[in-house]
Amino acid sequence: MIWVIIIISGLITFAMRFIFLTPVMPTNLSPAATTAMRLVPIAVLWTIVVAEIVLDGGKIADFTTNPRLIAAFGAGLIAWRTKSVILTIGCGLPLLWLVEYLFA
Amino acid sequence: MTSRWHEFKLGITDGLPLQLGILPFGAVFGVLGIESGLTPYQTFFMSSLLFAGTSQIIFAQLIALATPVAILLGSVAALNARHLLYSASISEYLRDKPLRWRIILAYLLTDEAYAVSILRYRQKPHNRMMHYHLLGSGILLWSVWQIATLVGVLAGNAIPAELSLGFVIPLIFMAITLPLIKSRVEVATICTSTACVFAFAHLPYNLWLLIAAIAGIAAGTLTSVIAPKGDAS
Repeated sequence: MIWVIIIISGLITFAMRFIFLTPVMPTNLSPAATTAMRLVPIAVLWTIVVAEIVLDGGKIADFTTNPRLIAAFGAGLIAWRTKSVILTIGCGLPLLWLVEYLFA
Repeated sequence: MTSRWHEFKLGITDGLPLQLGILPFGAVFGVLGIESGLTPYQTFFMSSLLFAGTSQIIFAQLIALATPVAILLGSVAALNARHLLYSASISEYLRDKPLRWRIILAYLLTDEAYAVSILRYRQKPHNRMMHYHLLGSGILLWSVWQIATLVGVLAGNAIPAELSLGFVIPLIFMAITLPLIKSRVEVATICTSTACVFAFAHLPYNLWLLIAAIAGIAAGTLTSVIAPKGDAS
């Protein structure tokens, strides 16, 4: 069953990459549609970021004892200023270890 | 012949710096795939069947939470909707190529390969062989992604949970999304999505994921229509 879901997911992914390379699709999207498409990665990825930080087992974690929240603020600043994936991981992960160590 | 090889090599060299981010990302997926209950074969072949990092990670997380298939496929589709935009914007350079080329290049059209090759297409002179650039950046990315997944699959059990390596995922996504915030349109998007996670976290089947994403996109699009002044793009 999982193999079937993986293959269908692969076909969906390929279809989305291929569809505008076929002559049947219009090349011009409306400005609003273009904006909406541009916002897709921001909205989806950001939702995942928030969920990974504030949710714990499907519930909102207690703000006062959540080390991920503190580490995420620091890492978010680095991500915003440097735009570097490597620096964000390189500083954010040790920061989480430090906060977890201090909280423990 | 020289021009083909030149474009192919240029695609590889242009894509090289990005591999620093791809290696840990792929390894994290390999670890996460095994942890979520997928077999090593399923985890490894997902990297060649989907070849879409973010979707693969969400796939693994939703499988671990026993999410219904419809929600899972909907999440993969929603996450990959951005590829429609890549496909649309790069089509003017690839439309006249034979079908087999368009199939191969569509398969290789990831965020990173697109980012590297669209820059070449827009900033450097046209060349009949420039589709080899996307082939080069795409094949490099594909190879590194498969190797990184394999490393994660093999090393999975050796990495202790205390290292909180799962935290790398929100870190990578923050590094991708935060620099994209340039105007009130993006601010409206992330504020709405954040509020929706809090408001709908209690819903079953991770429905909050789709609700928060769609609400954020709607809020940003609406902002761009009503108040376009702050939009930098």
